[in-house]
This record gives sequence, structure tokens and C-alpha cells, in this order.
Amino acid sequence: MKLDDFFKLNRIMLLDGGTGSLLIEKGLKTGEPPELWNINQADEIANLAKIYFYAGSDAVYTNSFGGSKFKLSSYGMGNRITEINYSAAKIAVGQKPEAKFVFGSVGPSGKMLEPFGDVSEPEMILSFTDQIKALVNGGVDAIVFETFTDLNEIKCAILALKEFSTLPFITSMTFDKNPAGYRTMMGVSIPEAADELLNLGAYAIGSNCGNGIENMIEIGNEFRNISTEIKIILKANAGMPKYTNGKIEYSESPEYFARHTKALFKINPSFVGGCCGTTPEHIKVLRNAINNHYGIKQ
Amino acid sequence: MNEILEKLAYCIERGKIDKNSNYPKDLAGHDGASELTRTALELSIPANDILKNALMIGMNRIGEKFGQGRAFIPELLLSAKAMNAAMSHLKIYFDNGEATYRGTFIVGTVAGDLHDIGKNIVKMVLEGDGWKVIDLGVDVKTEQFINALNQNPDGFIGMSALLTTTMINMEKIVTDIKIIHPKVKIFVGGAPLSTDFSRRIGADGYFPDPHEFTKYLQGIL
Repeated sequence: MKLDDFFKLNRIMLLDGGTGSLLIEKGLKTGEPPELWNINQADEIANLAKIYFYAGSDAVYTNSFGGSKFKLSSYGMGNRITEINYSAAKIAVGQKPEAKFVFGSVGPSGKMLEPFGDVSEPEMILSFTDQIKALVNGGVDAIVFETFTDLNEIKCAILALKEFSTLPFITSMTFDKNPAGYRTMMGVSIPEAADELLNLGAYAIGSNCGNGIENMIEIGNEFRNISTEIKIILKANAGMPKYTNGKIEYSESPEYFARHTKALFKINPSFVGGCCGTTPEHIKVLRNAINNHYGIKQ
Repeated sequence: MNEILEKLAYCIERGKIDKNSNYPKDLAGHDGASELTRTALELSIPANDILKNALMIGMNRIGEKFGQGRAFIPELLLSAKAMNAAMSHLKIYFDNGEATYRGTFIVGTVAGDLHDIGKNIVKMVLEGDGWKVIDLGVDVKTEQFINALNQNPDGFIGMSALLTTTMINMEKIVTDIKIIHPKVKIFVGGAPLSTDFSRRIGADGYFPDPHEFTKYLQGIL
């Protein structure tokens, strides 16, 4: 099934929730790159995809957020980009039920482009190229560029994809609320992001991370104000991490998410899911809310 | 004298590093922070005056704009780069005691965490505010913080984490450092952190942005 076929039904596509906190529960250690689990603990990564599909996700992300050359090189794994990302794609695709989807996750490089940092645009494009090739070869249905804050960096990632593939791509940036309204860390406003990313041909545009569900609804509305036609993606965090008795807990429960689904769906988003701190329970709640929204019997 | 210091402050505020730098476009071809600092020294303006009456004023202006949402990380970074270009000419005066730092800051990203964008921004802004900064880099072990403090007993510590897997270790790191150096002030930063977190782990403060942090430090000195 193609993405366009899904949207012929005019329904919200439910994505997955957080990965990191679940991997920590399974034993991910401090300083260990989660992407290495695609090789060393492939069964756990497969199980994660399975759990999210079972919870009701229509699409899950590959475990490849930090799979770019710059990121993996910082762990001394710059020579394993293809192996790690290809495996990430194969694992998730292997768990995919009929008429469901797998999106290849690509996160930022952790480096800054010139003139703010010391990385040139060709170097940045190259840092994403092998990662994206491996994800595409591994059979993902689309690429999702997520958690970016620099418009030029996400453009480099998009160019890396476009050089060899026409696969659809979704762009999701992280915004902070400040006196000037919602801006990314690098100062990009929502209209600026939308203008640039739609021109580059993004299948959907929107936001993930950095905010709980209430701010994410504000961000979604700001995207919707740009156009009634665009496809919007929204993945909120389960609030902010709180530190209690030596453990990290997130403040927004699945029930808290449930109370906000009406406002969330009013934006008419195409893709919703959860980011940091959200769990399969959050996804179940969203599944029920989506089903109720369309009058689908459980 | 005032004219050149005002020009220099403007270069810092606008992020004009040197004559060759293409940013900002409207200052293309003009002298930047580097050339103007050299000229100011040639005019026998004391290094401390250049620092306090030009460089810090420029950094303060960009910091204010940042706090008001009229400037963002890119602008702040370019101002800090211009500041560093100016400071490279002043270093000799700090080394021989003619000019003085506000104090010493030891910064690092905690063990297991390789993220350095936030830490580097804080480092550059602190340097721009007249601090001597000792950068321990990323994946910094507790002993490295303690060793740096042994060598700089009056130093402050700035500690960064971006991951929930690494922020969770900060309580132990802070406790272990304070066993050896009970009077040291330790400040924490990073996207998933908060004032509540800082309080719970026994640190001395959390700041969401570098400008608020430098303002706070100016207040407690």
C-alpha cells in the first residue's frame, strides 16, 4: 500500500511513540548508542516495532535517529553506517503487517553548518547519504527527517535523499516557545519552515519533541493557519522529564493525552504519534480516540 | 577612543568577526572585531577597558536581543566568534596580569554523553562575558571535573547533558564532586533539564539560556 492510498480514506495515520525510554527499561546503558541495538539486540528492536503495531500504530519509525555519519563516527562507528541503518529498516519492515508502514528515521547530525559551525554543506549532505541509502534499500515506505532545528541542515538531508530517490519524505522540526512565538533553537519560525520545506516537496510538515501535548496543539494550529491543504505531522513529548527517587518520569500520562485529542484532531493532522516519554499506552489511547473520531467500532 | 570602542561593540553585537568575513552582509569589507581590537591596542587603550567598554557591551546587547526573542543561537554564536577573535589579541594582557577575568569556569558534557552544541554555546558566551573557560569536552568523568577543580580551586562548574540516560547520573556526579569540593557551585544545563531537576540533584542552578546565566552570575559575584 502506498501512502497516498491510505489518505484516500481521509483518516489520521497513527505513528509510534517514544523509543529511548523503552530501551532504557530493556537495559540500554549510559553512553550506548541505541542504533547499535539494530545489530546486537535486534530481537528487542523487532519487539518494539511489534509492540507499537499491536498498540495500534499505522506506521512505526526505524531505530536509526542517530544513524548519520557524523553521529555514528562520534561513537567510533563511522564505518558501520550501511550495516546499522539497513538492519534498522529490515527489522521494522519484518514486523510490518499488511497495509501498515515503516518510516526511516533520520535525526540531526549534532554538528553546526558554517558560518556558525565548521561543517560545509557538501560535508553535511554526505553525512546523511549512506544512512538514507541504507534505509531506502532496507525497504522503508518514506523517510522522516525529525527533530531538526536548522533549516539549512534539514535541506542538506533532503538533498541527500533526492540525489538518488523519489521516495516521499516527511519533515518534522522542534520548536520552542519564546517571546517571538514558536521558533526553533536556530530561530526558524513555523511559516519560514513551511515555506521552505513545502517548496522542497515535503509530503507532510510539522513538529516533534521539545513540547508536551498542549504546546504541540498550538504549534499544529500555527501550521494549519498556513494552509488548509497541507499534511501536518505532530508528535508531542509526554511533557518534561521529572526526576524522582533516582528515576526519570514524564509528566503527561496516556489519560492526559486522551483529554487533548479533541483539540488535536480539530487541527486535522495527517500524522499523530508521541515522542520522548510516550509509551505504547499513549498510542493505545490515541488509537481509541482516532477510532471514536471516525466512528470505527473497536 | 569612544568612537573605536563603540565601533567594536557594534561589531560584537552584529557578529562581524574580521574584515574577510561575509557576515553580516551590510558590513562586508569593513573592519571587524579583530582589526578594531588591534587598532584600539595601538591607540594604547588598556585591555581591561577594551573588554569592559566594548566587548562586554556588545555581548550584552546581543544577549538582551536573545532574551527578547529578537536574536537566536546563530546570531549569538557569531557574536561569540567575533568576541573570541577580539580576545585572541587580548590574551597576552590576561596572561601577564594587566587584564583580569571575572573568574574561572570549568565546563563539560557528562560521562556517556557526546552532545556538545549546548556546552559550546555556553562556553563561548561565558568567554564573551569575560570568564576564563576550561573546556573538558564531552564524556567527562567525575574525576576530570575534580582534577580541574584541584587546579582551579575558585572555579565554578557548568555541566551539560542532553539525554535522559545521562542526566540520570548527574546526582551522583554532583554529590561526588561536592564531597571533595563542598563549596563549589555547580550549574547544570541541557534540553531535558529544569530548575526542579537541578534542585533535586543538589546542583546550584539551571538556566534555560546562556544570557540568563551570565546575568545571574554577574549578580552573585
